[in-house]
Amino acid sequence: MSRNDHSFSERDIDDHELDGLSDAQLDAELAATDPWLAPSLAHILAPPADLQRRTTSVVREGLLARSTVDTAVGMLSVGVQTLRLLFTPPSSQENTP
Amino acid sequence: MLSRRRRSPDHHTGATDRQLRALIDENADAIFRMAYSVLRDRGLAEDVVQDTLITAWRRLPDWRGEGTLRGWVLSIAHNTSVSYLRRIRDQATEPSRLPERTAPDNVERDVDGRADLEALTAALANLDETSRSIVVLRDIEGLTYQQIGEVLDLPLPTIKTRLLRARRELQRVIREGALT
Repeated sequence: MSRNDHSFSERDIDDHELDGLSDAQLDAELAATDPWLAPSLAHILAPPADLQRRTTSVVREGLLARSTVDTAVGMLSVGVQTLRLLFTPPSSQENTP
Repeated sequence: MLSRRRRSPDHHTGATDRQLRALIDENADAIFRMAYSVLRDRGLAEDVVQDTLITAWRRLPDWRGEGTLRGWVLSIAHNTSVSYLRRIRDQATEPSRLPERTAPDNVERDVDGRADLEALTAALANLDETSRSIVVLRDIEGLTYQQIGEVLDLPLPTIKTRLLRARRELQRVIREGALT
């Protein structure tokens, strides 16, 4: 069962401080937000103006580097398999289950 | 909107390049806000943005389409941020090596004369990282409680109670800032 399957009636340790509130009161309090909170938080956590441009560049380079490594590892793996086939005596190959 | 039809994340044809840019344009800012709220370090938050988007792009063909793409990406971002935080805490041998509570580049004293942003930044930093993530996902990114639960793998009661407690603390700071 996922943790998200908990019903709202299932209280956990986090609820103890808010035990005085019913579910309806909790929802009502959550619905009444200070209108200045979201813009203030957005201001505090604002990303750099050029984040997307710089991220695009770094992500492209990162993907290319990982792709190159994956290809190299794949080729190395094929080489190892080939050598193993070439240098394994036929009799031991036959005995292999 | 990004499609899941692409099957080769490392082949940068024109179409896949547009999809990569769409993934970045639609999610980079939200990932940054989430990572910055958890790590309180703008440089590390940018690193999380890059790592998250590389991981998301490579895993995109395996995404089963459950929930929203943004929720899935933010889930990766949160896990990456927590992983960074654990690594930093493991490496830290003294408090001075913990992440700085860095301020934004252009901290203004207030927004339209209301909120004391420095006090709000401090109040946000005093919340635990899960509560900070919940506030960001709900009040800035606009996710539903269900979506937040999927991103953070938390039950709804925990999300609601932590959100209310965090908002009370942050709103108290805003109100006090408005009075000064």
